[in-house]
Amino acid sequence: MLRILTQITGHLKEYLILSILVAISIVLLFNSKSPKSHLIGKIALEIVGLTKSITDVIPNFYNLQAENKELKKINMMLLAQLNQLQEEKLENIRLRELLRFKEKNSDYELVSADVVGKSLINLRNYIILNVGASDGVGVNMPIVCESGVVGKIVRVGENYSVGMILFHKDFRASVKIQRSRVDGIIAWEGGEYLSMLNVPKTMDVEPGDVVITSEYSTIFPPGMEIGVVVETDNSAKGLFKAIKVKPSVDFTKLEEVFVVKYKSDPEKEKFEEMFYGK
Amino acid sequence: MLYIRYLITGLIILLLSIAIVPLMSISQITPDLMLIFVVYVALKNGQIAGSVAGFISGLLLDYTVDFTPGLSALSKTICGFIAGFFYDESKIDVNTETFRFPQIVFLCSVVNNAVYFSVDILGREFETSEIIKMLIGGAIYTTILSLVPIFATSRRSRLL
Repeated sequence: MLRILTQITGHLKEYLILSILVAISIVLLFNSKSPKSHLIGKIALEIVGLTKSITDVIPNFYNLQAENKELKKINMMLLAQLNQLQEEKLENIRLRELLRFKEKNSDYELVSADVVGKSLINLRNYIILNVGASDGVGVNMPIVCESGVVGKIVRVGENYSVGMILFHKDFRASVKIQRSRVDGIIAWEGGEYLSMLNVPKTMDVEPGDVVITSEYSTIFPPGMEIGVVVETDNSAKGLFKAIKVKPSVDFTKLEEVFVVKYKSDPEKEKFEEMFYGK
Repeated sequence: MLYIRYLITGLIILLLSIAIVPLMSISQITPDLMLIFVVYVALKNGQIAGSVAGFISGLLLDYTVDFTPGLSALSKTICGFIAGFFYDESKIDVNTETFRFPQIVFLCSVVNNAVYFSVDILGREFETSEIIKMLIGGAIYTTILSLVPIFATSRRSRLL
């Protein structure tokens, strides 16, 4: 204890100065709002302001990097938002068209559905819809969209169903040429177009003719658009024309459809099955 | 003459603290150039010079950088005083031109930060990691920069 006291008294001057300086600092700290302090502060601020304005041109590279990162992040977020808005805008357009289609086809009860899965590269192509038996969907009900016929329901679950689309090698439907009322059967034999079968070479079919479902169809209501004739060929072997039809529906962009609650006469259906092997 | 030199050096460091140091910040941690200078003065001239240098430089920083009169003056005065404990007339070169210097700088920097941020730390609830960042982060950065004068003086002595 005595040793510490001797040490302190030996360095009394140092401790005294320290105490004075600390005391001044504390007084300044607690008295920083005095007019004198305010005046010094004002002058100092002017000097700092001037210095800063001169040196502000030098960038802080670390901050620049951080700022750059932050801007990139914001950019990504804005792009995502923009994409979402564009998606919503397109969805809005599609839904408006679907609504118009629904109003136009008010004779039939329509069930709207989203396409939740599809295959387009096989010989047997399907779409999966998010509606099922709980929505009143049944097998062989037509699937349509605002552009025309999409296909028909082939399997139904409680909340989902599978639709056979036009690009399926087993798909068949009775159709006719809208202009000349020539009947035929629509089918797909591979490639990007459908084929209209059983049309005699003497019949009046020209490129540009619209193909619609006929009254003979046991599945599809009459008058629904299938596609447009793009090519006719009379040089094919046999009695019938080779007619290529471009489907009205763009299956690559298909997102929303309607299932038509339409059931034809079962007897008629059986009869057609017997004839066309459907 | 020596003290005028110190004054000029102090003013240059003050200018650097205003203009350059903010540009050197990493995650809001900045080095304390003035502290290196205060420690240097204390190791060269003793406790009284260290305390006075700490007080004056702290006061200058208070009015130009921190805008809280008294806070830096207090922390730097204490730092100068503590650095003065290491003052030994026969070991001035060892203290200022070897790796002993950054060690003393680190110690003083931690004390300086502890005093400087004590108001903030006591006044608000901080996470431990944040307190460590405040106390140690700046001290490490300052210590790294304190290596510069060592290398500079050793190179100069080699040249001479």
